[in-house]
Amino acid sequence: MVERDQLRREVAGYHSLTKLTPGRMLDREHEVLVSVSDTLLRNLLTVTFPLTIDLRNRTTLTLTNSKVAFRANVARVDLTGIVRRTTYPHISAAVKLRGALDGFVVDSSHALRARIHIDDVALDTPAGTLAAFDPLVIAVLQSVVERSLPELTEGLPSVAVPVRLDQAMELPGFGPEGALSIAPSIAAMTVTASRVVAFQNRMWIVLRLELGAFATVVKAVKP
Amino acid sequence: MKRWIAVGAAVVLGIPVVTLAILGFRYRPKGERENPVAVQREITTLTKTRDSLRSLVYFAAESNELLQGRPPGDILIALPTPFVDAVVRSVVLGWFNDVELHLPRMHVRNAGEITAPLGILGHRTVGSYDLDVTLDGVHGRLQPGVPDMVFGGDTIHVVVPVRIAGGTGTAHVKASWRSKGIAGPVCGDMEAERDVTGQVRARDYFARGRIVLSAVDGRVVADPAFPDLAVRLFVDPAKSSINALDSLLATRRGLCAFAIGKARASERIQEIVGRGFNVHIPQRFFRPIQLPVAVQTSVPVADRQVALNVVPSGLSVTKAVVWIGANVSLADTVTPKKK
Repeated sequence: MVERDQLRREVAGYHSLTKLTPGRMLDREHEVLVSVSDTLLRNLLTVTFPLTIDLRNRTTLTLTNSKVAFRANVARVDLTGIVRRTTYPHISAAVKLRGALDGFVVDSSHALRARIHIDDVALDTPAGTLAAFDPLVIAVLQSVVERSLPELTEGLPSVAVPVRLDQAMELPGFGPEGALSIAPSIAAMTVTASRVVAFQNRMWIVLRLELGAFATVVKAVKP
Repeated sequence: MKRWIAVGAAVVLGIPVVTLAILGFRYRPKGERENPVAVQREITTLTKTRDSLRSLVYFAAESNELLQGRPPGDILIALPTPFVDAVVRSVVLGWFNDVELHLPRMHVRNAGEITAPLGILGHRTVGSYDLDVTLDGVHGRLQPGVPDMVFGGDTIHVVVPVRIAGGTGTAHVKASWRSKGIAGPVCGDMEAERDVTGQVRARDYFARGRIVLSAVDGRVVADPAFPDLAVRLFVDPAKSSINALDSLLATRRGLCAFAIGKARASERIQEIVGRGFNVHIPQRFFRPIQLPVAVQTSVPVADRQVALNVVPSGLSVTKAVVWIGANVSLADTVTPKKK
């Protein structure tokens, strides 16, 4: 069923990509493209590991590895680790979180960030009790993780794309030199992540940039 | 004894079983049961559809002019040429935003002798004039027109119409007359001072140059290369001011009026000012443009700042897009993020 769900997502993703004609892909006067490879984002995510997140019912989840794949218009992120109860019975299991990058924003530090949204939780290799109870251990821990998704999503690191997006363009002043003297000027720029397309192992982020008119910078006069 | 051991074993084994059973019941999964044959059939259909759609998408991507000529790299930034055009156009207009030209205070002097026919005595020097003009507060404003830009490779050829408009100026005029020869006792000497105001004449110029795109520190930089631009500021003295000066000088009659009139003070002032004043706009005036998207050399990850090795992989300018690419790897240094 996991394979079928993944295929469904891929087909839906490719369908949406076929609708992207060259003219509709980009508003060429106001939009730019930033493309990042899945390898780079995986390496950046790896820096945060091991990462331990407290879940409900005295259970913790420790993430140790990630797999990032951008294809079929899905920016897929799989995280693997171990989930364990910290009190008796000390049961545990290997966990695989399947999710996607979404919610791209440009933050106040001019960085482009995205959150990892978890769609699916899969557990295996249970431990901590008799083998006969393995299905039960999986069921219990699976349920705990699924019910803790809000805490889990909150605890996951946001992914920053190493791209700087200026929120203003500055022109330095000039002179006084001869008859010329020009005060510095600045034009505000608004930057928003417009949409995200994932294919060919790359994520393509369309950013909308609106540049205002240049205005002279007036120095504040101290009273 | 055996009985107690049995009870103990039952408790030891029973508690986890009961606990797990309770937890299992409470958190029982909401799994769905589906027919495996139907699922397998759907997987086969979906695989075929996926493969055919994938070919379509790959073909469309490779033939899309937007994605042509892109350099390799972990990070690519694509700036469509209409976007670059719009930004550069704004900056070119920004160069001339609120630009005032202020001529420095300057003195211009014009002096000479006036001769007049004095009957049988022939032409004789009747006096000398001295015009001392101090120009002060002459200013004009630069106004850009719509730039004309032509993209060609990594170079943008630019022609910007520039108009000098909206300026004024004041000239303080000191006119003196010294009579000589036989005119001396009749006319005597004379001095007059007057402020003459004027309007800066509107005039159009063209700044022609080019802007070269290059990649500097993971950013596209547009470097202007414009030759020095020389503009000339012409001031037209206001008629009323000139008339006032003329009427001041025209208080004498007869030979004196003739002699002073020959000095043509107002005409000479108009000549002096009418030659115009050069204003030099140096190359440095055309300041470099940094396009607003760049590859970062460090990135915040969780609660730390991760340094990156950024190696440029190329700048490519196609008809549709200006590309900048970089290969990025993690550097060894990881610093805690500032709180």
